[in-house]
Amino acid sequence: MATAALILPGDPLPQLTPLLAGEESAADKPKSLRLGPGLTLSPSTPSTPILPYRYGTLHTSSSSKRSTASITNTPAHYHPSAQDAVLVTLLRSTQDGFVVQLTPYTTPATIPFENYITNNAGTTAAVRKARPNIPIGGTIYARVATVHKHLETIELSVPSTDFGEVLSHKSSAGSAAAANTSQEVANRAEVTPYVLSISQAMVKVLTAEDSLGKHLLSVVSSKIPFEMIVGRNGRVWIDASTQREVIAVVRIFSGYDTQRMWDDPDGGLTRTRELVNKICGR
Amino acid sequence: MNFSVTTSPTSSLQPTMAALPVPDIELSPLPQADGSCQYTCPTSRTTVLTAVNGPIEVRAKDEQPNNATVEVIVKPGIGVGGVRETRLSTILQQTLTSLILTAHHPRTLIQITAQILQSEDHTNLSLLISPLLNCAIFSLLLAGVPLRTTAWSVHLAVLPSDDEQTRDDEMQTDDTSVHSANIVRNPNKAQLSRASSSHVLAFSKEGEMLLIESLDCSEGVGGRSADGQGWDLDEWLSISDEAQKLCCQDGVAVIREVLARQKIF
Repeated sequence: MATAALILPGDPLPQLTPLLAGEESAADKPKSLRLGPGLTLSPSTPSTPILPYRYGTLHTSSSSKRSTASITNTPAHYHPSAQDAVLVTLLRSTQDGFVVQLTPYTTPATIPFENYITNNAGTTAAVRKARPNIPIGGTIYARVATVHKHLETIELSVPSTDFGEVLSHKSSAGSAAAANTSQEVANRAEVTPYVLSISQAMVKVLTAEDSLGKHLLSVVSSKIPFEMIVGRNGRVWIDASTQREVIAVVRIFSGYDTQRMWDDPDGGLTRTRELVNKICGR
Repeated sequence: MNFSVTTSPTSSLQPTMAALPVPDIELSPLPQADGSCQYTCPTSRTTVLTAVNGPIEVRAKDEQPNNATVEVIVKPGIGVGGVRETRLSTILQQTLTSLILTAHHPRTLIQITAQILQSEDHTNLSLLISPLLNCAIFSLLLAGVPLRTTAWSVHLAVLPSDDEQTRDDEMQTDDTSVHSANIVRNPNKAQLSRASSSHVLAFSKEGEMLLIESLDCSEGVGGRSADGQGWDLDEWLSISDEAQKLCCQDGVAVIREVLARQKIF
């Protein structure tokens, strides 16, 4: 399926030369190229100043403002990068912020209260009164704010009301961070949403909406309507109208993931239909 | 010396670059590791399994302020680890560190664990180095560890030209022999026991030499050259050229082919 050429570490990248050169008449200063993940500047090899340092395929986007290039592949584990939307679990809260688990195999990340925006007016959780009351183990949809190799912890932020604590939309008509959270949870007709851990390849499948994700999601949603939030850190929050349906959707997606169905020529859609029929009982 | 790699008319009967027998490679056999690979050498049937984890937390005594620490652990196929395994891990550590961009992950550890699963001779280092190195490179690539370039290694053995079994070997394992009948690529134990010298060489994709492990084989008829090493300089240089060609062309082609088996998003 891989149509784009495979780039190995250290390969020269003549494809990038037009992006770097640009039209010399249009601008006096040289065109800037933003190096995404997988690419670095290498002073030691002047013939190829841009060095790919991992294998994958080259992706370039030449927008009007700034062109970017990156090497994409699917690592086994999640490596945080800025602006990633992630689903994290609250471990504890301190005076300065929430301490959350990003992945089970790395040190906890933090969400400082001043980065936690609780309403549309832009109020942050820095004031004690405005602080959301999230139970330990609650799921928060956040965004990676800063990743720096010389810093110990990764900082996350909740930049708008689209992010924040994840609750079911059925119960939380309106603001999710309402004061009477416990009451609403009780009204949810005993349906508990499921947080499923998936592989990084599955994350790519689900977020690649135009190519594969849309077809996969429509195959499942034609049988069972469901809600889902995909975190780039390999966690998916799944909710449906009954608990039985939640578990069915979870089983479909985890089956798709463990059997690596995306390697099929049709993206695993035939096998997914079989799986859906098997799990749904017809 | 009675040795020739030159393009003599007889050698042109075989293709000058007989395709490297593709090693048996399984990618990511270990689900929990960041990158893992199982590698079986096509001719000597040496099987190794390597896993790479990293960047992970480093022990305080190994921590380097501006670089990642590269640790290589070699587990023997038989018995408990000893001097031999320490020697292997030192060779691997030095070679792989020259490939890894350690400045990308300062104060972390990149841990490479290698397990020898099967070998014709567990005591012979030269049979083990090349599979271990190639397998570890695949694991590093899969783990997404920042690499300067990729590399490949090959084991070449020089058989004496008057060796009567060389002809037979050539008939049996047609594609193992390089275009000179005297050089055997990735020899097995029987071939190595008759060799006058054995050379494990590793080259980067660009052709830099990364590793030389040349040995005079006492079981063969080595030690005949003036310096007593079993080979002279001209001979060694032609072996090195041969190995460079094998690594930079066939070896890199194998890496590309194997990695393209997995779907890349």
